[in-house]
Amino acid sequence: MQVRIKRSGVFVSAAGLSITLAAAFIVMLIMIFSLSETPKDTIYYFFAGPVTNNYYLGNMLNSAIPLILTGLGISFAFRTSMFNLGGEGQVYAGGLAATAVCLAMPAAAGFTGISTAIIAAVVTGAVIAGMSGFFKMKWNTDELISSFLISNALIYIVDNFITGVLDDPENNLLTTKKIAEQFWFKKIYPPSNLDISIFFIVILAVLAYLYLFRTHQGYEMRMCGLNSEFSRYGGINVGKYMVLPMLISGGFHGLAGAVSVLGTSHQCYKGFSGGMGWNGIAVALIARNNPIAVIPAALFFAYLEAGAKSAMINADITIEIASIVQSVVFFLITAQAIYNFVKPRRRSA
Amino acid sequence: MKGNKKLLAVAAIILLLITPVLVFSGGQQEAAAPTVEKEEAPAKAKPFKLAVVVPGVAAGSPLYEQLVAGAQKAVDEYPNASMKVVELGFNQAEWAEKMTSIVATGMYDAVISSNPSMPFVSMDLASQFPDQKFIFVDAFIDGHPQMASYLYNQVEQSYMLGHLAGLITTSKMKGANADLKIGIVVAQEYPALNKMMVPGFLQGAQAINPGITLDYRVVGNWYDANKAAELANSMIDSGVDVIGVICGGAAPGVFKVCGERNKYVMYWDDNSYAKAPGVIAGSGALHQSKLVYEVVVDAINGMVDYGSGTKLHSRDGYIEFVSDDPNYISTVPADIRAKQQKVVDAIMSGEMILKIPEL
Repeated sequence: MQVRIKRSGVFVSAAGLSITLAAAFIVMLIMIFSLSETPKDTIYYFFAGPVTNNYYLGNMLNSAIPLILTGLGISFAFRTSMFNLGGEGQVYAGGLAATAVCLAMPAAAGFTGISTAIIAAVVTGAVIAGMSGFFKMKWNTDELISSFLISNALIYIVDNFITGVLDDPENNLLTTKKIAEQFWFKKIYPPSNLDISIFFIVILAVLAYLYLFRTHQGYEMRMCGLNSEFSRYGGINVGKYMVLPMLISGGFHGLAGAVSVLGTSHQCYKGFSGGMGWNGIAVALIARNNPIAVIPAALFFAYLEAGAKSAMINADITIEIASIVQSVVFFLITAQAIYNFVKPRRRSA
Repeated sequence: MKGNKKLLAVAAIILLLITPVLVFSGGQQEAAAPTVEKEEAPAKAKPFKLAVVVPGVAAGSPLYEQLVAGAQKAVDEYPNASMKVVELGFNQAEWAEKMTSIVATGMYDAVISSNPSMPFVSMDLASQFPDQKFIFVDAFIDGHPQMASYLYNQVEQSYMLGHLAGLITTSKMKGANADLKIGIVVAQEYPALNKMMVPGFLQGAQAINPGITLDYRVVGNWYDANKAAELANSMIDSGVDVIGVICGGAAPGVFKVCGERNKYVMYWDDNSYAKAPGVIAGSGALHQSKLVYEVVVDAINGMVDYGSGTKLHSRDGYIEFVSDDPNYISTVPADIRAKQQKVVDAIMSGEMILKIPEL
């Protein structure tokens, strides 16, 4: 019986995803044909652009790294019915913390510097998100609102640091000084930006899955997400699972900021995290909050982003049209209605 | 019913697999020649492909609009030439990656862009793609074999605007006061601003009265008109009566406050009197479309001197103080305009030389 239910679930997921992907691609084709004067070029670059050379391929994989992390962060929160909408600010603050640590430490610190920067970023993100969890536990503050508001306020504070005390006046861009080369993650697929962190991030996703689905604490966390009242009667410390998942979620977001700085930009640009937090929500929704499924979901997201950029650079569509095409695809991908349509309905007695 | 659903799912999977194949097969044929060439290209003329890179968005930015217009004019004159405009958007963190993506296509004979930051954004990728040529206007880099740059003497433009600001603040114009304070609102700090524009502006004002001081404020971005308005209000409260603005989309905030409080604005790079008549008392202009047109024509003909950094002065015809605009004439009294014109003429003729400092 259990096997049948599992098979049915897999069938629903596979069929639902297939139908939505097919519908998304058809809508994408229609939009490109109606908006582009060279639709064949546009379609070619949209689909094949990200894999036409090493540079595009490596960069596509690289842009999936922070998305995996933010997707994991959101999955943890959503699994416990905690809504962390402050991802943008947590990534941004994490990136700034990592940059500040690297700028403060001597270049010779090397590995110690990298470790300290990562810890600083994770702690920063965790504390920021954890505040919302704490407020919820203590005063029943809606974490959806508080995480969003705290994040929005933080963005301005981080902006102020980047364009203020940490600003590099010798640079024409709105950015901090560059961190020393000793703190950079090693590139593994030149000339692209893909760095060594991708291996650790994949391992982290697997560990996140094992923690969530194979440990007692993970079980309690999920139970609280499914029904907090039932969990309370079952003797689970529900308040703990308002704070802990938010801490973990924020930690993942902070880590995403650190990885972006240490691996790709090597300095903290104003607004560098734009979209990373929100895109993490999209990734988690596609992955249905499963930490393992976050990896292909983030890759798919990165593929679409790279495709849109490639079409914009090589064909005739503008950045806005590319974004519209992307958003339509995501709207379809995340539409629950298609899954409900495929799901077998129970017969009434 | 169950069978129908399975059938539908299978059909969807097949469609999913087939669609990209159909698409790729059509696209790959096109991919060999994705840029449309003009039909009447002379048989022996070597094709020239230009990437026009806008660090931001062209619409609404006069200098970037001029960049595109100048390149388009040149390309239109040469049947063997084609161009592609790529906008990098507002996220500066993505500029280097997008620039690299453009160069990595290997499609372009030259990449042209306009912004002081672009040579530095492109420095790493230039070493990765040693055959790629870059042309930068409104920027300076000297001695890089793949890059040619053209830098406007912003000291001259700023001096002319500062000189007028000095004349106004010491005048009996309606909005002027006795405080000998002028101000400047900038979007962010950068070397050209710190070393050419701000010192040139103050130098011009102090040529009228050495006691004039400058109130300097930074918005922190290129779009926040509300913050720019707050800064302008604060400056006016402290006695400033003329404010220079170098803050892009945030400038309307200063226009509004100065309009309400009867103060004056100085504007760089584009004839902008019409944006706030009676408030913008002085405007400089860069003739970027002319420069870009000439440079692109040179590039098409293989005459660009890569490895050189060219400094352009007012006397070369690319920088001016706009003194024939009706709004300028109606806002600034004739005696002040006459004094201002003497200095403008001296700079435009090369009689008065203001050196560009090391950046």
